[in-house]
Amino acid sequence: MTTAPKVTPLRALPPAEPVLEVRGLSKWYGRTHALDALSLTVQPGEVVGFVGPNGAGKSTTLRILMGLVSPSGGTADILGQSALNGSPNVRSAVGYLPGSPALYPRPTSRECLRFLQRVRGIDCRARVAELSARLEVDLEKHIHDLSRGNKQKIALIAALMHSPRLLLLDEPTSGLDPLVQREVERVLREAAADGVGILLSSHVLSEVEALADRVVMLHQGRTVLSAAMADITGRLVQRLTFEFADTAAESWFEGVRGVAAVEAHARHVEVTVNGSQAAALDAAAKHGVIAVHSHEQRLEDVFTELIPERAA
Amino acid sequence: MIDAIVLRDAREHWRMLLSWAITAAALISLQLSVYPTVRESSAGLQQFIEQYPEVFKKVFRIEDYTSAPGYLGTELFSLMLPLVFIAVGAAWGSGFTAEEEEQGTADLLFALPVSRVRVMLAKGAAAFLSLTAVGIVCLGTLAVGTGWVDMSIGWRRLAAGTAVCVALGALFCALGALLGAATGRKGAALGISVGLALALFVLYSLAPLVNTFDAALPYNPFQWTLGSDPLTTAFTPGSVLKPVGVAILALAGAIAVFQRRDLRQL
Repeated sequence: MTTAPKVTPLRALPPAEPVLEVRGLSKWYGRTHALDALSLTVQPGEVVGFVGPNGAGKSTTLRILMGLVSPSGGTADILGQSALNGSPNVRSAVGYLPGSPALYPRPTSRECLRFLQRVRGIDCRARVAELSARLEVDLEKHIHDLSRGNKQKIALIAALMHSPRLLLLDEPTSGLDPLVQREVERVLREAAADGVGILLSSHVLSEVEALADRVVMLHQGRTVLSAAMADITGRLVQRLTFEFADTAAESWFEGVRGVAAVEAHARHVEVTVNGSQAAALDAAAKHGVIAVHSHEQRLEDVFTELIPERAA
Repeated sequence: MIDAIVLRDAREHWRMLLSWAITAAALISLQLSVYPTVRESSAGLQQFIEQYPEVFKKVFRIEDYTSAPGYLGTELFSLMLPLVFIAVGAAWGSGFTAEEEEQGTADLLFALPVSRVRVMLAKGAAAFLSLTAVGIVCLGTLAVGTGWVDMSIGWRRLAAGTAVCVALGALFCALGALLGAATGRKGAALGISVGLALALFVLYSLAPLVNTFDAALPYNPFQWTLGSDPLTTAFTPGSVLKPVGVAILALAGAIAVFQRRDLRQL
């Protein structure tokens, strides 16, 4: 039998109510401010990318939400219930992947996952079998014989197996090969499509870019960016390099709509564009452009703009 | 209802338990195998012991070495068996939560939908049941062994002697749990709890010689247990209930401390 907690069902939420709502969450370690008045929400089916340099407060946030660390201030509700009073009821609806997942060394992966199911008071062997097949991991091996990547897969299965309504993932693809990384991204997309809210802490910004609907960026415990991914990519400046047959002039692009900066080098002109590129392309066409190279800014560029180099 | 955490903890420690149970059974068998020789030379031995300095006899509480209870009390129940149970208890209790934190599995275990109180109680139950199992192995070996060497001592007295050892083990197990919950470090918790056990034992042993130590005897767990002379006098429930009561208080303290503490990160 099990240690199945006496869980009262969490109330069904209205569609617009967030699965996770954090307000003014702070954590002090002595004089060090690990987290400073963090506020964020995760809606059902939404993936929120949680990014920032090492020590920014991402893992601390996730550990506070799991009741492993107590906050110095603020509130956090999961599915409408406080996540800060250590209630097992709240944790039953959450799948958590720690940043450095450790598993019990002695049993096999299957026995370890079975123990976790028993404590949760559920039987999800079918989901475990499905996930282990998709992530290509052998459940009969002893955990101490597994590679780091395979241990990460088992920890991912442990976070996903009970079909949680909120996933708190700290570096989910760390140590995984590129093919499995893609499979994990697919699994997470499917979970989001099923209405699972996901708070995805990751250093792999391309992964966040590919998965996240919104991004919250932390630096030294403070939120430096919180925006929808569509707004970020829409707002991003783009750099275009035009190649002409003869020597080009910067004046060709001065005053052109959307052009923020121009720099000419012999037959090449580098133009920085905000928003639409149409006017800049028209201006280049008038002067007989023979080639155009586009350098789109990405989330990584935003990261390096907002976070000082030493911190990043 | 078998608790998953109780079972997992017992399975995780079965090697340690088995080793200690075998060690205890071997020690008991070895000591019992010598008893026929002691009995045969009882007159000479008793005369020899009477020549020991009074101080020595008081410290090691040697009065009647050649009778069955006297021999078992001196050779097994005055130090050796209590030490086995204290070692098992302190090693297990120190790791209740500190081991989970040190090996990083605390983030896995305490993120499950189960309260810290429940985890601690389950771990306490697993440790107590396991100490009792080692106690049963000891009692079984004693019962068979004393019969084999024709030792005249009733099983009730043997059970009382074993029960006080289990109670001592439970006490230092809970103390280890309290220290482990407070520090998050198993090594420190084990060191302090074993150190405290040794210090209390020295105070108990030297009490017949030092008035201050003697005055403190009513507060010493070794006096509650070993001092009750379970092999020679009628069993007093306090010899088990007092250490078990303190163990329950220490476990409650461990729970209270652990509830308030941030878990260490790997």
